[in-house]
Amino acid sequence: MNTVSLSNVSQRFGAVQALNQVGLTLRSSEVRALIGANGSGKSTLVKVVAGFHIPDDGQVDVNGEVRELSDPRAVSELWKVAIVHQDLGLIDGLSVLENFLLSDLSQNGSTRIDWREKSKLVKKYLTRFGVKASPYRKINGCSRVDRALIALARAVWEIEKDAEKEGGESKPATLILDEITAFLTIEEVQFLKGVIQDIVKHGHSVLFVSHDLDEILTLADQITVLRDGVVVADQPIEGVSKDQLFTLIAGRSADEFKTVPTADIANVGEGARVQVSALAAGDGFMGPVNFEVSPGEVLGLTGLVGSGYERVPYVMFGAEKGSTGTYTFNQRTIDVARLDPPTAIQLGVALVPGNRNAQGLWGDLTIAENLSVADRESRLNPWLLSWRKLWNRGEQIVREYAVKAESAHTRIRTLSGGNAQRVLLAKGMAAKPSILLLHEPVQGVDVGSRSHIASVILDRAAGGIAIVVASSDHEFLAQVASRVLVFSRGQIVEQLKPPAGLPFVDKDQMVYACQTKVATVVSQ
Amino acid sequence: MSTVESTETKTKRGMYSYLETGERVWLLVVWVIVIAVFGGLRPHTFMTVNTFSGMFGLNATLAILALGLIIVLRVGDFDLSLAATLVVTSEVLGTLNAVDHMALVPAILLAILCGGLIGAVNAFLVLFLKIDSFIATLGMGSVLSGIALWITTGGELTGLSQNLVNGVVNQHLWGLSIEFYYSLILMVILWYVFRYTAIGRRMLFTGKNREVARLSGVRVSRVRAGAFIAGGMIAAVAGTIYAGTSGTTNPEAGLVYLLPAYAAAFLGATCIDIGDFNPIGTVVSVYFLVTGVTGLAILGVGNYVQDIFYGAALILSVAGSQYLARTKARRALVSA
Repeated sequence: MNTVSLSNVSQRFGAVQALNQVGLTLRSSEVRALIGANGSGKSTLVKVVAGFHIPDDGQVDVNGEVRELSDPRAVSELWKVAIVHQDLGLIDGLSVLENFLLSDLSQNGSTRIDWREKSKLVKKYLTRFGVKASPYRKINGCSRVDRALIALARAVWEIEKDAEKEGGESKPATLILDEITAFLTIEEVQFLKGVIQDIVKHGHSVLFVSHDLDEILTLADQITVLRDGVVVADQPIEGVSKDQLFTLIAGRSADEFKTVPTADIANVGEGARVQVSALAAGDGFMGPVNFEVSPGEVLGLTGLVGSGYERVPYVMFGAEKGSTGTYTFNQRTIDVARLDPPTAIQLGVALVPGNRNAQGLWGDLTIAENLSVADRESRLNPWLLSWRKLWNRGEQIVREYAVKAESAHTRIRTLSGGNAQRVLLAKGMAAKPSILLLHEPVQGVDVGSRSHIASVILDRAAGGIAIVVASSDHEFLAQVASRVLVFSRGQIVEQLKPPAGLPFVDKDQMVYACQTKVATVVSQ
Repeated sequence: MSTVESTETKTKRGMYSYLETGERVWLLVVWVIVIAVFGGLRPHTFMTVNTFSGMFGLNATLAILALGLIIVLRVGDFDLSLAATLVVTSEVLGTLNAVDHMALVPAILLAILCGGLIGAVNAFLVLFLKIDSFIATLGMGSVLSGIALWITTGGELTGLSQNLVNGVVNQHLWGLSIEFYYSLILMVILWYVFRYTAIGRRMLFTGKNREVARLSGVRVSRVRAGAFIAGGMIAAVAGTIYAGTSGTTNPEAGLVYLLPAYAAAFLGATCIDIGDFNPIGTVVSVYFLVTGVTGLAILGVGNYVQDIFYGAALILSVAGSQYLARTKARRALVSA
């Protein structure tokens, strides 16, 4: 029976005390869930446990031997940790076997690989974890659940291989599972339970990180709940209900807003509504979903990472090949399967994509040049562009959106995130859309720009545009959205309306719905 | 307070634009220095009308090919088959005109059409079969040079219409062969298209970031296909000039233009419109490189120097622009 205890772990980032005297105990044969809201210090603690981050202060006690966390080498002599991230860290084009050998090959300077022996070893692990694929199969040929299992098997192999080599007594080992279940269905999670139980049976401890309360209740034995850098609960999960769990995380009772009466949304003419039916992404990870959004309304879409809400703007814009479904507005029916971005723009649909640098703006070009691509205001002659008009238009936008830049000739690359995001929003609006689709419009944006962008969105909605905001930033949605659809595993599982008398959906209500509502029908 | 600030930004901007203008025309300055150095070393052989009319008058083939190349480079693709396109289209022109006795103008038009078709095949390989443009056009280049040898069964084609030779090289304007002015006209056309037309802007958008362009509603595939086709057609124009300049066609000689064209395109991107492939910078670079090679030849350095010179220019210009981009990014960070 091994016991590893971290104690007095503290970390300060500037003015924020991310971790305050945190303790965490990991016993062999135990699955401990680490839970907390965004910003609770959870990810910092995971990094500390994984050895990626050395905290300001803190000790670790391994079976009675105490070491300072500031000496990672001493810690690693006593205790072995492996981590499986959300992205699983598998390389698509390589075989299962090669993925297993990655760390070996990058660390050791060994000149010769005994493929036959390694493949036998890997085969043994694959069998133990119920993966039927051969060690020589390429990762991209494996199913979703197989990939998760392969990543798990590899991490366990990492933990155990040294002990096998040394032959002697194995040191305590911890496996961290960092939100690896977001892409799995509930059935697949059930299957994972068996695998995790097998891991702890071998004497390892598991630290399980997730936002999904159902998964936590299914998989964990013990829970550690963090709130604002402090441990607020450290107890067995036995007898804890979903609502109690949520109360621990949010710091306020789930009953407070679970049954809040909802306000009616002002009725808009039936014909003007955008009716979305059977919208589905080509790869099956989202949909089919049906919903509607009215001119003048800001509709929020949210869910846990990977739940599919983030795909909707791109699918509706015709930017994802193979997607299907239709939507109607202005007595017109748009077939998503035959839609492409230029057509979408012509029809009056605009997209503000989530990744400014890779999808939204040309960093090398100036503000005026970036805006010129969608400009319909300047009435340009396409065979003799007027740079003066483009520049004037750029200057006008810089003033209107209060972009902090020397002039419209400033290159996007030199702007801060918040200012670049303002330009991106202006670029989306430059096409004079009837429907505006936004994905994470305030990611990596300063506080001032957040409220500016919120006010622009509300202002444009008031001007009669139908707006769809897909975001996992519940605080932001609570500033703009008068209705929110919650996604889980590709499906809409909940529609949230504002509490009576208030204009926007409550933030904690969104958080609660995201963590507790689970799709019963799994899209695929 | 605000007035102080505004004068400060003004002087800063003034310094900035002064610096930027200096950066833009650096190659012209270096070019003048290079001419002065060669002139000083060999005043009687280098600083002559003959040398200069040779340098400017007889290198339009390279200038035009490089201009065709920057169209493809500007949308973010490579075309390594352009020199072979030049050769094949000049063979087509030669065969139609000298062997089949077709009239000159329709023969030229057919050769240009042929260049456009080759560009269309490249576009098909890259956009439809999704082959990386580097690989697709490398393969096409080899296929085309094979076809060129096949058309002529390995030999030179003579007997091209004298009108072609007259219209390309024999007529002179202000002391230089008329072909020099053809390259200038094409340069001005491209400059206009790149700067003042929506199509030219879409090309830049596509080249700067394909995904941003796609999500902004640019029909990226169409733009790229157009660039391959236009590049092929301009290579055919270069092929016509080549045939006119030498009066014959040769299935192998034209292939040597590929590397100098790339060197000029990349060197050109370090001046005038810094960071972008641009026609004026490209043409300046062509004549700068030609000056260097000519001067070195007059100094008595062997023929091998051409290869070294062009190759080194290509590498140095890319290295230089990488360095410039880094310092610029740093400077922007400091000022922000």
